[in-house]
Amino acid sequence: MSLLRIDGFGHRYGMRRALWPLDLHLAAGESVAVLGPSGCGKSTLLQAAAGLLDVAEGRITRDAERLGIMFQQPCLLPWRNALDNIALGLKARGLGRQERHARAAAMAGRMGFKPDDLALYPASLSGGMQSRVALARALAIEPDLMLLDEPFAALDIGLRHELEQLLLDERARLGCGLLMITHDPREALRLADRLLVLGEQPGRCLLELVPAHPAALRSERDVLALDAQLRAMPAVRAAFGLPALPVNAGDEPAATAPAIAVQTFAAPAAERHEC
Amino acid sequence: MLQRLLAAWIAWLWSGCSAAAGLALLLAAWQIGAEALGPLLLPTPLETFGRIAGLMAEGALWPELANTTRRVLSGFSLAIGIGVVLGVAAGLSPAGALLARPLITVLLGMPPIAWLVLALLWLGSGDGTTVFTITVAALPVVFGAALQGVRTMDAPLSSMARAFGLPWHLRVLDVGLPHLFAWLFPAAITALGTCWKVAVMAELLASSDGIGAALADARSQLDTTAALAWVVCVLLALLLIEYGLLEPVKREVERWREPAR
Repeated sequence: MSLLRIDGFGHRYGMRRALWPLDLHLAAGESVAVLGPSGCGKSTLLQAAAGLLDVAEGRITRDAERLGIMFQQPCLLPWRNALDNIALGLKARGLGRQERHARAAAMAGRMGFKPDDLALYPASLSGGMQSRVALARALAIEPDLMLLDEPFAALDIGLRHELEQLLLDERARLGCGLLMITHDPREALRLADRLLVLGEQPGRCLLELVPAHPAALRSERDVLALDAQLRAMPAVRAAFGLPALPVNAGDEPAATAPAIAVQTFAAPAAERHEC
Repeated sequence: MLQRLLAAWIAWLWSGCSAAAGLALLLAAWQIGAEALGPLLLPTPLETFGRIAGLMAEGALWPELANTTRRVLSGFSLAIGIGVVLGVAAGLSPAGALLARPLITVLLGMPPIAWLVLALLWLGSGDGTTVFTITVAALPVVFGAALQGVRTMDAPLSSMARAFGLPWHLRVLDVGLPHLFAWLFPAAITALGTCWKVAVMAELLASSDGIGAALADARSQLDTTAALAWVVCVLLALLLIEYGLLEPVKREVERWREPAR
């Protein structure tokens, strides 16, 4: 049973192709990251998965009842205070004022908000706090599918780590599926069970990476070692336009590095390309 | 809500000290000017306010002020109502916005006195002419603001609202209207100022009552003190409505704009 099935979805903006057709199936509770450089069409993929884009090519079916989403910007309503912003998804689901405020406040508490903060408007919140509100808003509806469009890209590494941890904890609690797009390999390795690397313009699926353990079982050290391993892969370097690494005898990956299963996809001979 | 508005209003009154100081400076300059020019050209503030008190005592002030205020508020409400409906309608389609843009420029550039002449020809002299002139003078400001408000709707916020499955009436209420309101409020304040100015002008030329007509009387009798007294009345009424009513309401409903201290 797939939470999200993307079959042969490709997209053009006018005459310009942004994304070659690709397939992606997300099982319930699974976490997948789409990793790629800017302009490879990964935002388009997420927009389509969220139902914000008309799908002209291929098919996207979503079996998720409750959809939580985070964008690159926090996208908070500037005229609503933090609590009302967190409660927005609950309001959309028709919950009464009292109940949605209670649930939003409970979620805000888990996100580390003090009760006083909840009365503040977004203009009075720091960037980190705004992202936290956006995360709490997405999680407050107890989603079965979370869609993330590099939401932590503008934060410093400490804040990023903290919000990622909150997201991992809540995902473990709720058991929701997660599809994230990012250009940060470390973030992808921290949050996702499985990685798809997109590259080139128009974007296509280059390879699939499956680390030995799911995201929940990886330690911080595993993530850093995997990150180093990933950055050294020729295919990944090519996807991001990095120059090839000079070959030295001592540069072999350390024997202790966690294993990654790699599947490479051939360049599209015809228009259709699957991964 | 009412209690909060009341509290905001009182806080606003307290913060009015700097405005009072500015007005006091203006009065001082007026006094100096009056002493230099003599009472025929420029009566002193005291004489002028004395005349206002006199007008009040003989019961001439309130009916004229009421007449003008009634016309201003009718013209203002009509301009807001028509401007918002037409502006939103035009803003909803790119073609409408393109068509409306030169229209706004033309209407904003049209001198109110020209409208007044046309209105006199079409409607004759009476309330209709004054109210019509006020409405068309204030309309393009409101229309333009409503149009811009709709055109500048935040696309990422709309996407977010759709992704969270907000039904359409909540999308209008929680996302659209607050944004539109942020555009409309400053426009409404500008429009209200325009309304007062145009009202007095229109009354002066096309009406037998109201403050404009009283000004015309004062001019024909070369009564500078009375003329100044009426002018001061208009300004006081404008100050009272803008700073006593609109500003505190605006501050309260737009609290989200400023970071908390």
